Amino acid sequence: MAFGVYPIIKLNWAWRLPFPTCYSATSTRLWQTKLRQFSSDVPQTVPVGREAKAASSVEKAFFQPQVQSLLQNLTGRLTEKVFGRRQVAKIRTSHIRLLTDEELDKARREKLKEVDMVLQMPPVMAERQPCEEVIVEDPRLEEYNSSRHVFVDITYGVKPRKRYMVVRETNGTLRRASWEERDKLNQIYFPISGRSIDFPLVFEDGNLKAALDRGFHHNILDRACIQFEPDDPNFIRICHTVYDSINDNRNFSLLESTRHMGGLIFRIVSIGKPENYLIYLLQKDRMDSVVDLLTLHYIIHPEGAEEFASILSSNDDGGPLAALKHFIKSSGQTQGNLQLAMQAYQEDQRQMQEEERVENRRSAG
Amino acid sequence: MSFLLRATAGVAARLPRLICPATTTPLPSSLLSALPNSPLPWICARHRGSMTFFAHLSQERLWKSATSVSNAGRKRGRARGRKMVKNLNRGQVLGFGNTNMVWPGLNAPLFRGKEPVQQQQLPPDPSRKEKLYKMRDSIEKFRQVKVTPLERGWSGNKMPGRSLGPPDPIGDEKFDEFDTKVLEMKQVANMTGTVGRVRRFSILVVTGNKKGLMSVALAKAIDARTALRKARNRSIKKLRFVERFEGRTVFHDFHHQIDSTHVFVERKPEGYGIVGHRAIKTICEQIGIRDLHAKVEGRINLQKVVKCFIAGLEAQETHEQLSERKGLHVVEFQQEHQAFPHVLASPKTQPVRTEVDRVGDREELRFPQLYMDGRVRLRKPKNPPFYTKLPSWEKKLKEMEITRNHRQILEYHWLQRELKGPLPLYQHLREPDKGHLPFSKPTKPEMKPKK
Repeated sequence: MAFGVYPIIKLNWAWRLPFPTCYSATSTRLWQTKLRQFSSDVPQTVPVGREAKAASSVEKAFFQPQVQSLLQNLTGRLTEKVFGRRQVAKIRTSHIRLLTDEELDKARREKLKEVDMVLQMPPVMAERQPCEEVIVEDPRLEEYNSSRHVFVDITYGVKPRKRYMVVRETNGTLRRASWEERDKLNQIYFPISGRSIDFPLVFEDGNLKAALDRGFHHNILDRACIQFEPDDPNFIRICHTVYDSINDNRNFSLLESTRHMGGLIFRIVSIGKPENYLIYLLQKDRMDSVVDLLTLHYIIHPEGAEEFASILSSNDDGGPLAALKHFIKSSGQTQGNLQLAMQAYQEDQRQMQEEERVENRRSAG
Repeated sequence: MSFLLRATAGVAARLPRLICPATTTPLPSSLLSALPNSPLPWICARHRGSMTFFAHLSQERLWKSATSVSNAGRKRGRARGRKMVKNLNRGQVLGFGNTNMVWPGLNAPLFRGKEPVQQQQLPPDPSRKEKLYKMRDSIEKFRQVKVTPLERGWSGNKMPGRSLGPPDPIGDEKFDEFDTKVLEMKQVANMTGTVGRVRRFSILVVTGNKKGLMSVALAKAIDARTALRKARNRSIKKLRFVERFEGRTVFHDFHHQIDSTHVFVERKPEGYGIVGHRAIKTICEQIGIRDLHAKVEGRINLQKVVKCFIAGLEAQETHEQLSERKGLHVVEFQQEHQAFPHVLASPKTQPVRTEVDRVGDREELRFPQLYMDGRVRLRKPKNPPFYTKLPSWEKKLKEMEITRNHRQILEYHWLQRELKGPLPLYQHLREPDKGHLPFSKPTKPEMKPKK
């Protein structure tokens, strides 16, 4: 071949990622490399809208190190799920190797390093504020053209959030582009694979409901991560719809050991409805996770937190149960189901202890 | 007057059938001698040009002219598409004709009760002719048996590849879940002292239940139908079990050879389908193998191919056996699972080996090469397109030489300029051929002064 256009940069490792290479415009590959120095060369834009302000309270709460570690604990790291079957571009013949114990361990350990990356949670953020800002009004340009003009700085290596974009309205006003316009234009000039310019049909109410009825929660959330910025009102709305549907139907196993579990738990704790999840954990006999969840609850809702901490630390054996009782008592709502689940849990524990005793006696006798 | 005489002579020979077409007896000579004085010659001379041979040739001779093939022609295959003799008198009964007459004693009884039946003409039957034609055409027409596309074999109306259904039940035992397919159907012959060449049909079939059970049987008979039945029923008595990986493919790639026939078989991922010789494909379908690639090299005698492929399948080693033999874990890495190691089998009767020498080639431990007998299947390179032989192509190459690699070079230098400094993922960049560039000379290694 004398001529041909070849891809310049080849990403040999891209297939290993369980999700598209970058899930939002803010994490485009280029700024992870050494291009940061160039941001000084291009004209600096003034931070607008939400960026000008400090991080919102939601973000602050979510990014607390303790909250993050609790969410990670609650997410779980089941390898069958983390490395579950995923769609690939082309199914190839699998590789089969003959390995010793040592080599097998090494291969496993190598892959387990990727778990953190796969389970990295999409950020939970507050909705972004409108960023239109009139720069100049020029009545002389009124009726000059029947359509608006958009001016985009397409310099290479500028962050999509900082890219300079202005709109000349038909009445002669020059203003900064709105978020929706910015998203569209960024996608036109610097497309992200998997993201569409138009609003995807799957996120419309009827279709979203149909997808959730069929149990495509994970797929919907993945698609939303590609399509929207994390502070996009649409993203927040869709995530909340999916989380609420899971919470109502107690389908927590759908998102366990996925990167969306943290968001789900953060949502149900921050709206103060952790009962269903607590019942689910008690049924699965996961008292450690119950304690984690309650700790998280009292971090976000600090009323009664000191008492909870003291109860938890006072009894070393019955601490978790006492703490759960405290939670049930202190939360004002009726918690009948939760009470029942706790009693069932206690009953199970008692039976197990008795069986152990019987077995011990047998072995001793 | 001379033309008239010649004409009469010609007519004399043909006259009998003009007068009496149904009989072949010639007219008496007295009549012939009287001809020149009769008014007939005039008529004959006038109609000589338009006379048709249908009128004066017998039915047998007419048919022979249309259907006969010479012996030499028969040997050259001219008798294959030959028209068959058709009985045009079918459906005609003595006594019944175009005129609807009642002839007592011929087509009616002589007496009805005590009264004699009268000879009379009835009103004509308008649909009589139609009925006759219909009867003639319907019975004599050659009907080709249509086979639906789903039932068709490998090619046309031929038997190979076609299904024969399950074998006949033996006692109370039924084999409904089995299906038989023809692999080969051919005529074979042997010479005997008394009869000479005795021809028989030889039929090779494969039977399977698509769950691993299969068998192949060969049967011969003089009649094709008998041979098919014999082969089908013989096959159920020779069943054997073929193990499959995940119920869909083979455990490993392998090579097998019988005489000069080599079969190279490759394990394939789900959804690949069966790619290979049509007989191998049919066998795989009957066994229940869904994904596989097979290549036959050497002699492609169908019976040998079948034998070789089945022997290769039987000689497979399961992952458990392999791990037991080698004392190592058999581990699968799938892209769909992000190459997370999945242990297929571990040795059970012995501890796992701790040391493996992968560098020294004393022991073969590479899974794809384990069962290949050191052979590699031939992968033919694609033939170059026809235009590369044309002089215009050479001319084009010469013209384009000056712009060769320009695009890549431009991109490379643009990136270098834009990014200032070493590129990210430098090793993944396509580096152009620096020797051809006017602006980047190959750097010489610095010479260090020797001490």
